[in-house]
Amino acid sequence: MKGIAKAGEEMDSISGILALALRTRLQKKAWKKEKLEEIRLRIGKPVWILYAGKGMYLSERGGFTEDLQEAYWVTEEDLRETLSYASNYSLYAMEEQLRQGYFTIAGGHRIGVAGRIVMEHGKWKQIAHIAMMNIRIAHEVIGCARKLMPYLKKRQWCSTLLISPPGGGKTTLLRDCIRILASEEEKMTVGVVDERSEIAACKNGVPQNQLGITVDVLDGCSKEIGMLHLLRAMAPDVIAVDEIGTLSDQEVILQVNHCGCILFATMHGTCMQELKRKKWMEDLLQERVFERYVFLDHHFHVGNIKEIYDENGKRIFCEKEERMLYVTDYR
Amino acid sequence: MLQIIGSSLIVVSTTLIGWSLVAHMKKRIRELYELQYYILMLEGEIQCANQDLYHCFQNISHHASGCWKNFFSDVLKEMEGEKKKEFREIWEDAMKKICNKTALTAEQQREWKCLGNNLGYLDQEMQIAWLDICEKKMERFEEKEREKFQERAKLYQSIGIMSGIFMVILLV
Repeated sequence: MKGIAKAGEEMDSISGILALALRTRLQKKAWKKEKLEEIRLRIGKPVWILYAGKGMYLSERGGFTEDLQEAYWVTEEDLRETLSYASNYSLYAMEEQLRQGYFTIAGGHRIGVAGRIVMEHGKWKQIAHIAMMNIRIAHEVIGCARKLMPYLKKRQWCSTLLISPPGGGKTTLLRDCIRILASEEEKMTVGVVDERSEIAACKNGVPQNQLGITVDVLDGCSKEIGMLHLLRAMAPDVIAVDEIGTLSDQEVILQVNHCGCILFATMHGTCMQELKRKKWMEDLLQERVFERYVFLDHHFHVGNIKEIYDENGKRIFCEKEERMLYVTDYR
Repeated sequence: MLQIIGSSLIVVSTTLIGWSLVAHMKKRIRELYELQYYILMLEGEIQCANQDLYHCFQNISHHASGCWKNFFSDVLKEMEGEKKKEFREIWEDAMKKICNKTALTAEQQREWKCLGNNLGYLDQEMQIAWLDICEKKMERFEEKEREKFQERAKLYQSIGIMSGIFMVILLV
């Protein structure tokens, strides 16, 4: 019964953070942990659950339902309780993360929040009343990058950018790439800047996710500071970062590239044309920092590899054409 | 012979009562001092390391002693298990367990309990502010207790001996 949560079974990291009223209802029915994608709580609205790609409500009688009449409606108390449990009774410790609108909990699950924001000098100071929560469940899919790896190696590993829309599985894929690079076979020293604690899901600085044996993680550190620190202090062969997308990221990536370090990164996007239109990408494309651009979509499943481009913008893999234009010998 | 034994027993027991009252006062002062130390540690953990309460109490419990070690262990046990209670309830329950073991007065216990109501939520700044308020209160309690101690310690001890002697004189 691996991966199935049942009433009376040991609490897993997801239901354990929910308010008791939600938890008991969720536990009344058997559900597969790996199929649970999102739980959305909004005060005065029904609990919305994304399960196996399908949106449903949490039933008043327990389990899931598609009927709004049977749905359980979230109370203010439920949300407050869930926030308290999710933050391990320490919402203040999430203050810095909350300024970005979310915080990450044990297991790498991301909790996005919305409500009344207090602004100061045009900047987000804090969130005063949290009225909505989106719990995005992180899944470790070990081996999901195996199919991709042959395309990412020439004589040595190529600096790679994984691109997909939100929820496209790029972090999961990046995590598996790291695991392969830092495996016993490859033995690459990989430095990970885990700004949102989603890649390694560290607890007291120790990764809880399986990341291989030769990995150094900077947990909760900004990408700009983290990448330079890793470069100076840990001498990595590869640096991995999640969700790049600013001019300051670009500057540091160029520095890392000039130092001869291989980069593995992710960013939001859908196609090569869109990427070329981004201003902050201009220098990175011109300098051919990344030698592989991997585009993902939800077509068949989350993390489906749609296309792969090389540093010259030449497509070397197209999932639609189902053929390989260029293959390296990956052993 | 019996008279001598009885008289000395009376004197010894009244003296011990006096001494135990003094020891209780000393214990209260020590506990108030320790609580201020725990608050300082908590402030440091929150402000410098941005630790969550669980890790703060984990570190503090290593330094705690006596019934306060049990207090923090109970809080930790509840926090790490399946979460069913609000933090305020966890704090109050742990407090109930030690209320007979601590030397703190009811007022002092109430103040410590009040801290539990304000821990965890809002931002770091507010946490520190609450801790500062509690620390100041504990400091004032300690000052008062020290004053009391200076006033009464010798009095309790001498009353203990004197009352014993007085009773012996009356009885004999």
